[in-house]
Amino acid sequence: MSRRVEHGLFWLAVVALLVAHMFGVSQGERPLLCGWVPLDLAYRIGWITAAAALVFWMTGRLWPDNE
Amino acid sequence: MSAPAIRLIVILVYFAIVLVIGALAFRSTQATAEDYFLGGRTAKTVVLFMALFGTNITPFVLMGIPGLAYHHGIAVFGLNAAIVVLGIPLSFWIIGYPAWIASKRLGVVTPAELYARRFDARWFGWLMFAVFFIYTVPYMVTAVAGVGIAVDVLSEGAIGFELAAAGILLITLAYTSLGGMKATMWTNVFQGAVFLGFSLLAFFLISDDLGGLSALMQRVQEASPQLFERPAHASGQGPFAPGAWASWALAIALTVIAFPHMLVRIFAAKDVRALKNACRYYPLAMIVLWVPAVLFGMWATVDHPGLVGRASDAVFPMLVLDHLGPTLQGVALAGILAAVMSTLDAQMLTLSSMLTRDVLPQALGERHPVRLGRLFLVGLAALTWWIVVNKPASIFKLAGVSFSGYVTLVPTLLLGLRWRRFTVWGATASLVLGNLVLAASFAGWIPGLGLLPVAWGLMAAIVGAVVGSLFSPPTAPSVVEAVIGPVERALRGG
Repeated sequence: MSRRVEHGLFWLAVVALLVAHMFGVSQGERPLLCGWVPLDLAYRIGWITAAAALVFWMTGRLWPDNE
Repeated sequence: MSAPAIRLIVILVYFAIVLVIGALAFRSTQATAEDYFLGGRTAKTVVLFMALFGTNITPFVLMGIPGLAYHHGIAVFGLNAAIVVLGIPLSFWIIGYPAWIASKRLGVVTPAELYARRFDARWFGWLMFAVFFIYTVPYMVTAVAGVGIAVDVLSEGAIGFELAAAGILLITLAYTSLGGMKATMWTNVFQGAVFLGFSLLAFFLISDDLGGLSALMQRVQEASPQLFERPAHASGQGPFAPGAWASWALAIALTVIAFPHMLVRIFAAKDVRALKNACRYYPLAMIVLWVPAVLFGMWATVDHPGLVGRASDAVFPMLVLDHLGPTLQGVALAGILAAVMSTLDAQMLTLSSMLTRDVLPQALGERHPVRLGRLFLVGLAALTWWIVVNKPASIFKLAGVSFSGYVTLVPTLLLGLRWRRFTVWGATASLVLGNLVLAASFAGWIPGLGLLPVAWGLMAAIVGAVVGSLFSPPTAPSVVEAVIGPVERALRGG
């Protein structure tokens, strides 16, 4: 994969996450996950996990090591 | 031994450790500006991460966020925590890394110095210092006010708000003025560990004392089911409406890179690996930091119902007082102090370094940089205390103004390192226009159209930067090359 394509895919993933940030999960009448986790909190932690994966991608492959 | 005496001993032990660390840093700090203000650019991964993380753990998180979650529930986590996990590493890569490269090549110590060199215009450093100063002082006020509230509650009124605020400023002043950047970074490692350790411990102990995590959360859900939903406003207004949600995300994701104390910490990095690792550890640390903060606020709704307005800023110390023993109450206070001092020290030191290097006449600043820096720290501490005792607004509101103001600097920080045609007049137009529009928007003089003032301030800053640059003569190529050349070569080489 060329560097340009990889950068393009990375920024596409960033935009997708930004769009996902605008949404959330309504609890309604549903029970809490594992008895204590609100559904919206679970959604955000999933979002953060995806963001962390992007950060690893960025620091590992896109961010040069030059000093 | 009485509970207040136990709490006092814990706090004194904490202060003693911090001052010993400060003294050790003082012994290993030389009298050069680079060593005093940047710790000799030797920050490795752990020190840099804790320094960066430490500047993120503030009363805004420990006091302001539980206070906000008390009224608005779980949506506060989505509003604040998630987006920074992506925004901060991205801004470190796009702005922080180039700034670090340029600062190292040019040997500059402060952000104002870097951009003054970028435009070969010393007066631009004064302008940047002014903007940084205007938005850092209210941020420092939130930190000191947070301590005042916490000490007032946890000492059950024995140590008043004003005295606590003065005390924290004096201690921070002592170790910061002595040991400089090394002291702030070394103490940040200790302070970050105290803060995180206590936050996790309190999370489990308080929930246990309130009947266990599951039972407690279900009680909150039964009593206040609205706290589990994103608040809806029929008018389309309020912080959780889509426009405000998106613009706050913009503010909180972009503001951190524009904190002057954060940029200086980046300058202090030993190598690129330390910068990258700080970004990698950040997401996990933010979950550990923010989940307890938001849930503390929700739990307080069943433990202390009926609080109105900014009274909810005190819910965290109230929970600690009700559900933990005196030793842990002392540790809680130490945790809050740690949160405050780890930010306050960096803010004070950075403003001081900018004053001596970028504002005072060069001959004076070069002859006595450290002594003048220390004098300025005293004045700054006195000003902060005076504002704090006048209690201008809630922690969250003050932080909102401060964060929004920093965002207006982002176009200048970015374009100054990445766009050769960017001129000093473009940068000036960006700062002036961005801040005028921001102020007008906060004052309600221009319609928000569903967006927060920060969004309008940022748009104005971008327009000012581009139009101002295109309508002014370009900067001399040799001046631009000195800053952008190394940055472009580093980025291309990857």
